[in-house]
Amino acid sequence: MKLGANDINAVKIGSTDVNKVYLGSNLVWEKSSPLLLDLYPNAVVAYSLRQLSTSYNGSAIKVRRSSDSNEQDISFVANDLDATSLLSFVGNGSGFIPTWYDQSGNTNTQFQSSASAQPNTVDSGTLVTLNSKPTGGFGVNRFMQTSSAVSLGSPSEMWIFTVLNLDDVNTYHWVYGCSAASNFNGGFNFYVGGGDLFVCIQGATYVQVKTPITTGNKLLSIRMRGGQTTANAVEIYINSVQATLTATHSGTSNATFSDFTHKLGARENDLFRYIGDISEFVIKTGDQSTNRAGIESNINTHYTIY
Amino acid sequence: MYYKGTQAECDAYNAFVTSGQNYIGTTTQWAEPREVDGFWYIIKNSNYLSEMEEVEAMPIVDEEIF
Repeated sequence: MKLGANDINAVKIGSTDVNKVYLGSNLVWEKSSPLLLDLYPNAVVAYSLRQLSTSYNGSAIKVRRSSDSNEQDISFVANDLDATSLLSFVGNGSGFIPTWYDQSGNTNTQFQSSASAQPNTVDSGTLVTLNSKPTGGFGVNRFMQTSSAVSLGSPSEMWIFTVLNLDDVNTYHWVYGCSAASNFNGGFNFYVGGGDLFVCIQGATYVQVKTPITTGNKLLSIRMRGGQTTANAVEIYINSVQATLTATHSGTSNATFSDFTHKLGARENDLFRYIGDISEFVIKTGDQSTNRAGIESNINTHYTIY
Repeated sequence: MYYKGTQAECDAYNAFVTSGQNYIGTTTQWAEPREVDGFWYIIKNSNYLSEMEEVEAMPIVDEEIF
């Protein structure tokens, strides 16, 4: 909403902030939430279909349309994916994601050059959504990967924050793989199967824990610490509630995390592909304990997961 | 659905679909054929038929999860 040529950034009644303004029954203005990485900067990777940082000026995704295989970058409008441009470009067919840009500023973009393995974001002319927000549909055969190893800077602690929809928790499938078939010390994996969510930190002796999980929309926060015994190496928060963990492999986690290709929706060998949707995936290094609640609040304000 | 055949047959099918779809830009092929237990598999594109055997899914790879 504009007043003349000026955007309106705030509306008050007296000293009280107003969040929404209606003209009759039509919403004409809504207060925008602060962007996640403006509040909590310095992510290693940041994939989302909403804008996460005012300093990121790039597109959200590149989309391939099924009608003629043409591709086009899709950006943001008012901090959300430009769904109007997306649907206009794709038309009545389907839209797939060959490129999911990294908003962290580190250009750790996820790619998929094989058409059959690209997540979708439009299905037969209809936006693919999670709680009415655009999402990436990974189906059962799709995944993406960075073009090279992600430089982490040898951190001793990593945090994952992600919004996803789990379609299946019994089949074993990977949400995120970051390791190699050999010399995998300092890699990590996060996967689902047998009704549980697993987190594994790989090393000479690796640690792995699990916790029960159900299908549906989830906001997951995962803390992984190097140089720790199993009991202290991992914390998992499901919808902002700390989960009780069971050790499935005991040892001491690798002292630091190493640089590998990151795979969104598959393990290191491209198998066990993710079954569900992913709307947002952010990794930060260092201790985020004091930021966790704020990060989850920012994410949940947008996606309304819990 | 998948087609099951030799590596050459799966590569040829991939080339057939890729050519027909006329991918532009960052998308370079239809699919990556995969080998399981000596057979090769490629995901089927329902607009492009092949004489290869059609199977519901690739066999589950018998390997350690972790």
